[in-house]
This record gives sequence, C-alpha cells and structure tokens, in this order.
Amino acid sequence: MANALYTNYKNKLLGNGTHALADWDTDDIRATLTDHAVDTPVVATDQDYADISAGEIANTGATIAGAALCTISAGGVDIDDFAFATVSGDPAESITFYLYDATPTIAALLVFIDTATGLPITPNGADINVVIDASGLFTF
Amino acid sequence: MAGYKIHHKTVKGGVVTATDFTRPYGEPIKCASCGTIHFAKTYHLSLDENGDAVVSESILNNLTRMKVIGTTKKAQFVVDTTVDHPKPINLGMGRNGGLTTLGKPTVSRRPVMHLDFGEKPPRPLPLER
Repeated sequence: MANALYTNYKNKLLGNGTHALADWDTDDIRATLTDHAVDTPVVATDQDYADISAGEIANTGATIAGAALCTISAGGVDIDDFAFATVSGDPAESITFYLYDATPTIAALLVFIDTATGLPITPNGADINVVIDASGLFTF
Repeated sequence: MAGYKIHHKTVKGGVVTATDFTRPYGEPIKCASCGTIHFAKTYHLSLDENGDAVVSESILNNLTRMKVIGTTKKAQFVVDTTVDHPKPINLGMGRNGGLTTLGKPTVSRRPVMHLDFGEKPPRPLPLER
C-alpha cells in the first residue's frame, strides 16, 4: 500500500460518502497504531473506526488536531507533534487518523499512513513521539 | 511502562529481523525501513554496539513463543534485564508520504541477520508462457 486518504473520506469531501465530514481545526481528530497481522486496513473499503479497531496497538486517546493544534492553509493540513504514551504492544505497521466519536461505527477514517520514518515501529514500553514535518501532514 | 532488554548472543550492532509465518499480513508490506518485502509479522530488532535491544512486553512474549528468545541453544537472544524507563522512540512523517529524517530512526538499514518461525509459504509458480 501507500499513504492515502481513505476513499470514503474522499467521497465525503466530494459531497457523498458516509459519516460526518471532519473539520480538522475544530473537531476531535485522533490517531491509532495498527497491527497488520491482526487487521490490515483497506483504504478503498474501510470507512469507520470499527473497521480497523481489532488491530489497534495504541491510540492517542486524546485530540491531536482541533483548535490550537492544527493549521489549515495552502490547501493542506498541519498538526502539532504528538505522542502515543507508554506503548507496550506488538510492532505497528501503520497509523490511521480518524474523526473520533464514542460510537466506533460512525467514527470516520481519514488518513492512512504506512510510509514514515520509523515504520514499522517496534515498541519498547516508552512513548512513541510522532514528529510531523514542518511542511504539514498532507495537502491536496 | 517498563521495557525488556534482550541481548543477542553473537551480533553486535545492526538490525536483526524475525518473521512469524503463523501470523501472515493481509497483504505484503514493502518495508521502507529495511527495504525488504514482508509477508508475515516481522520484528525489527535494532541492536546497539553491545548487541542489546529494548522491547515491549508483548514483543518479548511473542519472540519467546517463536523461540527467538530463550535458554535453548537454538535461541538467538537471552533476556538481560527489565528497563524501568526506556527511551522514547520517534516516528517521523513528511507531507503527503515523504519520509523525514530524525535523529534516531527505529530502523535505518538492511538486516544483518534474519530469523524465521513457522512454515514459510511456497513461492508462487512462474506464469506459463
């Protein structure tokens, strides 16, 4: 695979698709690390957090975008660096950004990343610090 | 959370990979870190100059199950000690999929040793002409 926006998110941006449309600088956006030997995310068909949660190794458990943490400009999204705290699980092969909702079946998947410096990542029990490039997370 | 320091019996420095073929991936992964294609769960163990690596409890348990860690002659690693406060590790993302350069990436080079566990799937037959 490669880094990508989930197809349902693209459809939503184009006026179709399911679930809510994420507003990156106001909504509760979170990130999760996924074990592909348990559940390999499928960008083309997975739509919500329930589709990938079986493979979750660690979740930020807190907002990583939203007000004061995110900048939208020049057709792109930039977010602050963040961390997965004290990760004790198996290696993770990808990170997914998603629009948090207490109901996993409506928490929309947004961005899939399996190509980044350090992925697959081998946890050692400490924090995993995610460093976002100064030029931002993604642009259209 | 505590980590576990494991020690390779012979290798000092470099990356040792161990693949668990009992846990195949949904689709193969072209690993940007070590440059190989993985078909099943693969552990990348980055050894320091003493042959040590620090891993999480889950990884320790799985590598023990795979007999990569243990007291038998065949096991490549032994458990050294518990590390109460392991160093944080970094993961860097470039815009639109670009890789960023961090001070200490988890894995940065091709493996110096590879270990297999479980039955390796047969290679696909070449296409008939």
